[in-house]
Amino acid sequence: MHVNPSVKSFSNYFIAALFLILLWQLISLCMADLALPGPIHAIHAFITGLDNGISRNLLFSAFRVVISILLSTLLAIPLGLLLGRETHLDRFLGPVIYLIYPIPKIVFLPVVLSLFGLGNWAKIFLISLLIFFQILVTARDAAKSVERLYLYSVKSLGASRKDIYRHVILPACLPEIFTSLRIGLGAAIAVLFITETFASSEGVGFYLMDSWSRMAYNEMYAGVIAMSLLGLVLYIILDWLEKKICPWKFLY
Amino acid sequence: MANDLVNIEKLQVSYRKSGSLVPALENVDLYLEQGQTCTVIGPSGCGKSTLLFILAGLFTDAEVEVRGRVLCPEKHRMALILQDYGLLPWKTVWDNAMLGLNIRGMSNEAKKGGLVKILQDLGIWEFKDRFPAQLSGGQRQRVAIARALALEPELLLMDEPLSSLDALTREALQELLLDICRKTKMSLILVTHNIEEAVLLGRQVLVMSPGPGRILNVLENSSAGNIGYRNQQAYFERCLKIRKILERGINDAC
Repeated sequence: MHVNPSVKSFSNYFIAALFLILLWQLISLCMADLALPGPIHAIHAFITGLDNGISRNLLFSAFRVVISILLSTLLAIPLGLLLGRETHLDRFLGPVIYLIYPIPKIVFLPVVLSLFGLGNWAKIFLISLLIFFQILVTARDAAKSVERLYLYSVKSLGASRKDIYRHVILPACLPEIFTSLRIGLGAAIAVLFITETFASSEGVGFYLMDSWSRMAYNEMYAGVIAMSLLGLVLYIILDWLEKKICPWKFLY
Repeated sequence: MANDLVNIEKLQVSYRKSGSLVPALENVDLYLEQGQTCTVIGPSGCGKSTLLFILAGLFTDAEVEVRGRVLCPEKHRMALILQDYGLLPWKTVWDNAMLGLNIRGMSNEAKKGGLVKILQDLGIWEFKDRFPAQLSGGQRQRVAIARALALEPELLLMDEPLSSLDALTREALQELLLDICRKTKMSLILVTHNIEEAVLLGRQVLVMSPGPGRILNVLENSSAGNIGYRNQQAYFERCLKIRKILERGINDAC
């Protein structure tokens, strides 16, 4: 029987989700602790909470993380590609990046909060910083290792430097940039969560910690569900974008 | 000579490698008249690809030091086909074939129509929306040829274009090349390590030897240019002669 592959993958995800929910139910039954309510209660709290704060907080979080991804990739991709191809630039900036890249960006949280205040921009700045360096390093390394054959090929057609970036360097590096972005997404949401727990009054991170402090455990898990959904949806969007932008990677 | 399309005299090329110069070509002369074909044959490392890249103007001053006289058509009147076809994996057949026209700012309707015709003539029009990874080696080579032909070059440079193809596909493409050269009056310089191919396609055969690359012999081969030549006595004799020159050259170099 022929089954549409997207339907098939959807049903696979559905079965996986069902499995995880069952596992959750089982553990909550075994532990019988108020701090671990069953999935039914959590899902119920999530659905009723949608009218009651979750949607608004989810929108705030989504806005912060999406803006951060856009800002940081738009800056990091061109700069990374330039660094990978223009050796004199890399000779100067390479060591700087080498020193900054391994620093866990979350340690700048107090500094960023002091400089940007408690609003959206401190959070966006910190998440952007994280993704920026991740993409920058990936794009630079990918651009460095672009096959010479492709460069000679377009050069022999009379390509200018701009043509080479447009027709060769950028498309050659895009798949690696997508992979890096997908890996970075998890860290970005973790940083989002931490920034939202500090002196914040909106965002899923705030909602979650606020529920916790009120010992509203069902709502706390509704917050966990909201955060997971945010990650999942962004992940799906990235997958979809990659298939649209890099169709040659998905031929078989 | 007025008819010279390519005129190279006493060409000397060295690669710059970490401060020192590594000689790649020494004392190379090459003349090619308009509409003529020339094949360059020799073992690996004899600098035949270097010669082609010099003609195509692909090296920067930081990469090589060039001495001697190099007179060849301007870049926009030449097209180069590389060993592994040089197709971009992220572009479809159509976009790959259009790339030269796009880059040279010649992508008007007339040129597009011309390219459609070229793809049809080469039998790859039906694959226009596929990516290179979805094609066979011979089909990829045809796309590379289409991309070059779309530019209507006076001189086509080819770097071992058929070396990775099976025998039947190679013969079909050799015929195709001869046919194209006859019809378009295009000149051709083709680098190969296959003796039969060199004799079949080049009215002038340059035999080279390595360490550093130099020309051992220039053979006039005026019967080349039609596919029937493959079965003639003269063809076998030429092949044999080149084999002997090559063997002697390699022995001398060792």
